[in-house]
Amino acid sequence: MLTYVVRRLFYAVLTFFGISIIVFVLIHIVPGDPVLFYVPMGGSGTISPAALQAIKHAHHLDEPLLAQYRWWLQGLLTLDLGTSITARRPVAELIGEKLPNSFQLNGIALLLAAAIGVPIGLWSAMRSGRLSERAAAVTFFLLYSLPSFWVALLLMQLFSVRYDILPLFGMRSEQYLQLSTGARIVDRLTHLVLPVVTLAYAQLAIFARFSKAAVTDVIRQDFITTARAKGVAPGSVLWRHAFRNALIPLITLLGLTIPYLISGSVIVEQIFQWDGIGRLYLESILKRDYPTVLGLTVVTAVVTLLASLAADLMYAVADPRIRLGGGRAT
Amino acid sequence: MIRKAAAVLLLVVCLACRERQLPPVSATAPDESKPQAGGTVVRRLDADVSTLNPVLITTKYDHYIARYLFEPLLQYDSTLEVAPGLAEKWEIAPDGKAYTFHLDPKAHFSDGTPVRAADVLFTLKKIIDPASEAVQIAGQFDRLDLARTRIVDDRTIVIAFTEALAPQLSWFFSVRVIPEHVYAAGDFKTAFDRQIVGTGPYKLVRRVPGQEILLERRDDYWGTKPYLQRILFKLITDDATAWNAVKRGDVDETQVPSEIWARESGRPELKKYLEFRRFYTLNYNFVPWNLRDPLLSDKRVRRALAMCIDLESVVKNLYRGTARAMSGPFTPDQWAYNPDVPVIKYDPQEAKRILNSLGWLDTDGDGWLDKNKKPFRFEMIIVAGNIASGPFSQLFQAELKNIGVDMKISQLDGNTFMERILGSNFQAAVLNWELDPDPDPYALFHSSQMPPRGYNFIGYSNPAADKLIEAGHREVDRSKRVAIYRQLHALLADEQPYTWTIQVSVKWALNKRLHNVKESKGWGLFLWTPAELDWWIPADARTHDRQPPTK
Amino acid sequence: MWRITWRRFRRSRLAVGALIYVSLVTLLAAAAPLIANPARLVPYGPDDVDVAHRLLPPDPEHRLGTDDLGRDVLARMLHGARVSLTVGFLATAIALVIGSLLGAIAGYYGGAADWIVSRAIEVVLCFPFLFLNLGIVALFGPSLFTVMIALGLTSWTTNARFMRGEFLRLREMEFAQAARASGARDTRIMLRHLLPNALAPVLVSASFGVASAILTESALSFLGFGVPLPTATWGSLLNTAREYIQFAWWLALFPGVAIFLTVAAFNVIGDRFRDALDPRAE
Repeated sequence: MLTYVVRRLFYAVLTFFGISIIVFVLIHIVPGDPVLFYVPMGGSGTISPAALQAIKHAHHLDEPLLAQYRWWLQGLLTLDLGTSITARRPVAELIGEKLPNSFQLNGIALLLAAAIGVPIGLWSAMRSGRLSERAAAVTFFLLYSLPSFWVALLLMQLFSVRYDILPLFGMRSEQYLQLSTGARIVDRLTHLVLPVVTLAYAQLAIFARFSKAAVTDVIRQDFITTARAKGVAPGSVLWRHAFRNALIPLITLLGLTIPYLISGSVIVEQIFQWDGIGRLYLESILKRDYPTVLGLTVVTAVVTLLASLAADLMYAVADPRIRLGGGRAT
Repeated sequence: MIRKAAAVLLLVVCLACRERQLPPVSATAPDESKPQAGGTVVRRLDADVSTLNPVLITTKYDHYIARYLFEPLLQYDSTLEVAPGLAEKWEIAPDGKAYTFHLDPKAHFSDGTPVRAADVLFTLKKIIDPASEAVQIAGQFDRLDLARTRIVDDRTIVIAFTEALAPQLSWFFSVRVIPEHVYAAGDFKTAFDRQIVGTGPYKLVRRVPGQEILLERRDDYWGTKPYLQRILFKLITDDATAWNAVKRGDVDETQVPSEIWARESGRPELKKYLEFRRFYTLNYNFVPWNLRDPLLSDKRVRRALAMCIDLESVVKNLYRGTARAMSGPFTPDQWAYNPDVPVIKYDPQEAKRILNSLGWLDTDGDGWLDKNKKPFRFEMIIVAGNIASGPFSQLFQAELKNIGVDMKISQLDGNTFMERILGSNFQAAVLNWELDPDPDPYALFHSSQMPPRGYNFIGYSNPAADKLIEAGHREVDRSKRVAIYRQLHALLADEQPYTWTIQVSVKWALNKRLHNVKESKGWGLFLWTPAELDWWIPADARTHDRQPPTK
Repeated sequence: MWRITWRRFRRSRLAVGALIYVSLVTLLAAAAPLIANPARLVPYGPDDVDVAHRLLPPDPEHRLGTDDLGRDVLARMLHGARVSLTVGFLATAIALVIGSLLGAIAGYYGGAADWIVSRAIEVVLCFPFLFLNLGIVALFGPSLFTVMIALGLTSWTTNARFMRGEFLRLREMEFAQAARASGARDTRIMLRHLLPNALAPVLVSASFGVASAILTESALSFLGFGVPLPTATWGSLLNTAREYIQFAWWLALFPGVAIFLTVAAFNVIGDRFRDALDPRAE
């Protein structure tokens, strides 16, 4: 088991470096120059090449690619993600500011999706084949075929433009600091509704289908038939045998969706002007803010790799063949 | 259970609703003529400020805030002529290479220390120091001659330059003096976003990044105290949300996009408490042509292409009449403008005829004009998502298609776009210039100003134009400059290095409780003097001050 | 085996309906230049600018309204179908080819090949998908071609993983061992023996792939990084809709419905097909 973990960890580190190199190369190859953010388009039309050069120098942009990568790596080893070229602030600070916002959004969406989706999935497994279940299955199907940005537009149109019930954009209203604590909570909640719904409805469908499939799989297995044959009550069958066995793949699914807690909401954040990591990512790519893009990639990659490692470990725990080593399959 | 949930939901929705009611129709103050001191105005910030250090100003929004906190050496008045600022008077040396400034003896920083000539020198040094990365304004002082610049006494300084330039005086608007004893220590680029010591009439009370900025009037201000006691900037990036906020009365002013203007500005129930203003500022839209491209190097070709833009239709249908056609490099508000230069007439048939006469014929019958077996095809680049350039470029494309010219449109992200423009790696584009009060177009059209030195990325090189531009660049006498620039206007309009298209008017919605809101000739409502510093709100209309105290 | 599968597939009315819908849309898309043409059924071309009649709601003249330049929405949607479907099909084809190839090699040869491919899969998975797409499009300039390549390069991993698993499994089966014992060459074994057995699930995956590709292309166009102007795609129509959301509900409704129905149809087809293949499904 230990060798397995160590081996997986080693692979994860390799993958991490692979990703960092690819992103690094890609973002430098893509046409564009972060310094252009400072070039005034208009005004008196004076450019100061010396000042621009100073900015480039401060961020090592005038050095060869390999040297730049080395600088960045050095910083990484001391947990320093560098300074944003366009915001003039440490990348870690920027990320620290926006990460909780994404986390909040995605977390609530995930919880909601799981809390509603999984029970419905179980219910579907129980009532498989009946009309109500088939209708539900079709509904979920249709749900995750809906393009999320379209849903967002429609929701915005309905709830904000036509009937002014919910706010159109942002995380808080501009009056936020002038509100009492109770009103502040309500304000945050109303701003959360539309983005969360947009994020959650598809995940809900996935959770429902997945848990239904997982439970159905287990139900069909022999040991369940045996239990039924032995006269064990159906409820007990469902709970003690089916569900608990289905739990493992379910947890694995949850583990795999954890990376989406920070990176899954780029489009939604853009549409709703949600001040989170996704939007930061998009904007720093657009501004060619290399340090921020790399920093965000680091964070996302680390979380994804850790989650994937955890999921694999979970499988290892469940499947003795892997645990005892020697399995070919990775 | 479900019913309870629904009840809770309903409660939540109702609470949310209650927070936004339409403001009561404000009764106009009985005595409108006398300004009253006090009150808070809530202004909209389109994007968060990047810095509060006035030397490092990068965006317009940095400027809006700096306006209240710092005073520049010179200001612009409502006709955009130079007016006294921190300097109450000045003299220009006969050879035009030295400026003597006499600082207002009353001028003080917010920590009580007087503004001295040494502080001015310090500010200038910081501006030109590359390590400050003051990209926006360093270029305006690259002719600064530090060796001959000297402090005469505590209130007098002689600033010298290696060359005499006409716009140089107006560029002192960028010198917002900072105190040497405070700003000399610490990391210049980051340390002064919290700690601010300035000469302006307001001081920073609170800044919540991504949310708001609150400024309060200084009681010890050395100049004419403004009326408003507090300025609260709210960050609202989205136009639709800002408009809703203004409608509700939560925000007192915002710029309004053309579509909203067209549909909402006429509504009587809104006009009861909102004022809609429309004015032109110093900006114009244009199509730059890459003159080094063999396809576009002939001015007759450029003129022919320009004839395919129906500016009247654009103004009428895309902007619903809230724009006007441009004839050349100066806007009708600028003193350099030549009113006798005509706008190029829309005449696609004539355009086709001209192209035919230049050898462009559809010899292979494929619908496209060609010459030497090569079709007339070029690429126009625009910034993705720009609501002005998207429709315009597609209109242009459709018109050109009708006469057999194939224009491809490439949408690029802002950064790639800029890189290609400044690298002269384009054929045509859609751009917008925001201009300085001084109309000198040296950096745009003089042959020595090709990137990286200047903005002549189209590669324009015309000795006749160069002569005129240089003359205007150095001539200090206004009436002579007018004559020079009128000639230049006519010349450039004929040559079409850009095809000037339209000037779109800027539209603003203001709450009627704001009094004394005036417009300048080209800079709109803000940044000139006194402009926003002269606004006031009558005592019985100060709704923002009735809010519960903020924590 | 195919006939059985088809019979079971046919049993689901929903699936058949979806198949019919997809065929219809493909047909319409292919015929778009014939239909949306000033002389024909829908008397407007997709690029016919008419600024005097912009942002009109649906009426007998323009059945689905006009956009911000006065162009007929219906005409643009028909042409948009061409683009969206083309991108969907071709991007999926690219992903399929790359993924199957790499997966097959990994599964069959194992060892070092498997290790490399598995690491490559992990790298692509960890990659923020949007970034890769944006990067490729920004690098090579936005065009139909670039978008397809970008989509193909980001979505081959599921196919690869799947193929790898299948080849791992099938490799150990008797018929494969027999073939090897008889001295057949590796590629021959892979192509003639293993591939046909893995094919059917690949088709399932393809169906889902097309759905996903259409969605992603719409998302990219929506963000402004898809197919360039003035080409209409369903996603870019939604992009325009966003600007005018307060004034023109029809711009948002119809393209969205189109995407939705098409994506749903492909999903249904894929799902039912998978069920039809699965011997254990009721």
